[in-house]
Amino acid sequence: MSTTSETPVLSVRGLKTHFHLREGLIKAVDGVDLDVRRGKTLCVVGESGSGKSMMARSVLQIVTPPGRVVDGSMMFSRDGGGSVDIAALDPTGKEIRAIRGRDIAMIFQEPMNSLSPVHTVGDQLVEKILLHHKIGTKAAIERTVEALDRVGIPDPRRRLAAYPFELSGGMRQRVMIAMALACRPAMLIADEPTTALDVTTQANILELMRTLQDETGMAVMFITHDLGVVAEIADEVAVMYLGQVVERGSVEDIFYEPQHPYTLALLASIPKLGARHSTGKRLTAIEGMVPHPLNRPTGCPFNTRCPEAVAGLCDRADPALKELRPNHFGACHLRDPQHIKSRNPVEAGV
Amino acid sequence: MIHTGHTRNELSAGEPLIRAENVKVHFPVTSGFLRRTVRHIKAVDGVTLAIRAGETLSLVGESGCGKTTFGQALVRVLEPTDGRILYRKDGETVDLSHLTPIEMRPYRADIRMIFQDPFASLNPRRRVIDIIAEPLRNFGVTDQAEVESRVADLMRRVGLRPEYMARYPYAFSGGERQRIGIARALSVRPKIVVADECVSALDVSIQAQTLNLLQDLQEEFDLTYLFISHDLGVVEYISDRVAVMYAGRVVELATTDQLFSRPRHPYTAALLASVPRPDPRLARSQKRMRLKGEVADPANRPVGCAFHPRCPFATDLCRTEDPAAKDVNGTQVACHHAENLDLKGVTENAA
Repeated sequence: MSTTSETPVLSVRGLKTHFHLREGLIKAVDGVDLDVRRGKTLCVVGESGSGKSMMARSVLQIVTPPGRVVDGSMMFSRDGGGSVDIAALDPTGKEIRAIRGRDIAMIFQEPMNSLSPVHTVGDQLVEKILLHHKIGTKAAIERTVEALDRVGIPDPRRRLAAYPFELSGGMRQRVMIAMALACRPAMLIADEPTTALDVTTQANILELMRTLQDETGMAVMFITHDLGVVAEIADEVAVMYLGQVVERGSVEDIFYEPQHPYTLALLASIPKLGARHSTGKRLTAIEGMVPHPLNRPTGCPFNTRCPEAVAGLCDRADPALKELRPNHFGACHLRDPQHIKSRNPVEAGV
Repeated sequence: MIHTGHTRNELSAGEPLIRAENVKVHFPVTSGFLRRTVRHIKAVDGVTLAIRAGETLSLVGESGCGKTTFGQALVRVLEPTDGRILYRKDGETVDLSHLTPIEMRPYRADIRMIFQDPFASLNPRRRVIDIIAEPLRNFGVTDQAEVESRVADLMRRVGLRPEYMARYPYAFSGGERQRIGIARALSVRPKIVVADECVSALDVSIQAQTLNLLQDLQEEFDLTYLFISHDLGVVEYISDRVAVMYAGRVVELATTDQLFSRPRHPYTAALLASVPRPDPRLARSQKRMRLKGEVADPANRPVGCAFHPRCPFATDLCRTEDPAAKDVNGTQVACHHAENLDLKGVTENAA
């Protein structure tokens, strides 16, 4: 990355997470480069099966076997200097366990499934704080109350005794966020945290996450499939397709100057408020579907569905992620400056 | 109607095909050894809606507002506690609300349903041909050759390859399974299709394909849709009219254009303001209306207007008196202050 001087909190390079199955090799994440910066939100978008969740899980080394991080580096830099390559850590080791939850916290899609149904909210939060900090139970309870208060849970002291089933979906997600932020992590990974919520609740949770980010300066990696949510909260966006980042740039670049055909197609396929069918417009659907991971197309992963695919080029070589404009990366042969240069004389000749 | 490319609607506009009158669905809550009914969950609490032939009427609202329950009452999976469901067939009007299963049979083929979860709504142990053909067989098509040719035809129409009819659901992706569900609903040539969140579980690209398909099928089979959804982007795209539900009642009913450009009920305005817009500059430029608090509990409906605890415009009148639906410039709205509020829509500032 050329322009930013500050070291990113997390810098992922060439990350590969593979599943060795009897049926064959599934490349869930296949060479991902990303940076997550302090105080900024990186949104990772993609359809189901694009590997976005697996990528996030790889960062915490919580990929379920037989999945394994097989290649690449994930440099995590702490505030007070010192950095670790998470990719090199043992997934069951002490070091990664110290990072999980304390330095990098994660919240999941379904808050009901990620909270224990048989423990009170207070017990679960206190347990986590005690695990990572050498303080007394009383102090931990105080911190818990404070954490619940920060995420806007009314009457937090009384809620300590509540079980997750007594809370609504929005409240549960707030508890999850409180739990994630209780140890003041340098980075938060949020995997579709608002997908299961109503729009009104979603709007409140997104606002809460922004406020907390402004207060704490944490870096956020936000996984979502909803481009509307991306527009609301992202500073930077990475678009994933079949385990690869096909385009990466600032939120403005991605929405107003999208380059990769897949990004273009994704943006065209969302029903936008105001673009009604009465105006005669049909939704532009992407033809076909995401290929089966065991049956990846050769060449560019998107070439089978791409309206612009050129036979003999796109189905042969896998395009590399290239900087198309400052800090705006795309992996497409047809957008590659070198390719355009080399093609032009030919076209002129024709 | 303010229109559109649909000439079909203009021909039949105004004639309700099915009409729900003050439909209520209450579920008893029992307690104690004698399982005495202690109170009722009023999931649907007095909904009056007329669905016109050939239109797409959408029902929107947060989870727990009763939209799915209403849809189920309309297809008579549930028996309404009170009210009437008037269905017009061959010039005659029948009240479906309390028909017995046997009396209901002649109408079952006319009103079909498409479900939300394409993974849960198809029996994994049955072949696609059996899934799609079940309604056909139920309604008298027994000849195997005929069943096969009709299933093949249906599969082709929803964009599936008929060669795959002997496969099991696991062999299909989410989008394809939803097409199987659609083919099953259409197999007996229904008049009305209740689509309950039928694209919510799909990826955006697949969602777009499915929405386009639903529109094509509507033209081809002359269908009337009741489209239940929480996704306002999808709703705006597909509907002719939209009804907004809150705590078991319809709080606003208007044409799509009107509802999105000039909402009359504060709840509608808040819903519209909460929709994440895929436009970063727009999303950040405005401070928008946010709803505090939780959805009203259908077991314990607030006194007065059910929305008053969350409404920024609530007055004493709202806290005491339940507003009746009234007509404000062509919009049916249940709000005491509908005429005086200047609420923001979403479409006027959209690109």
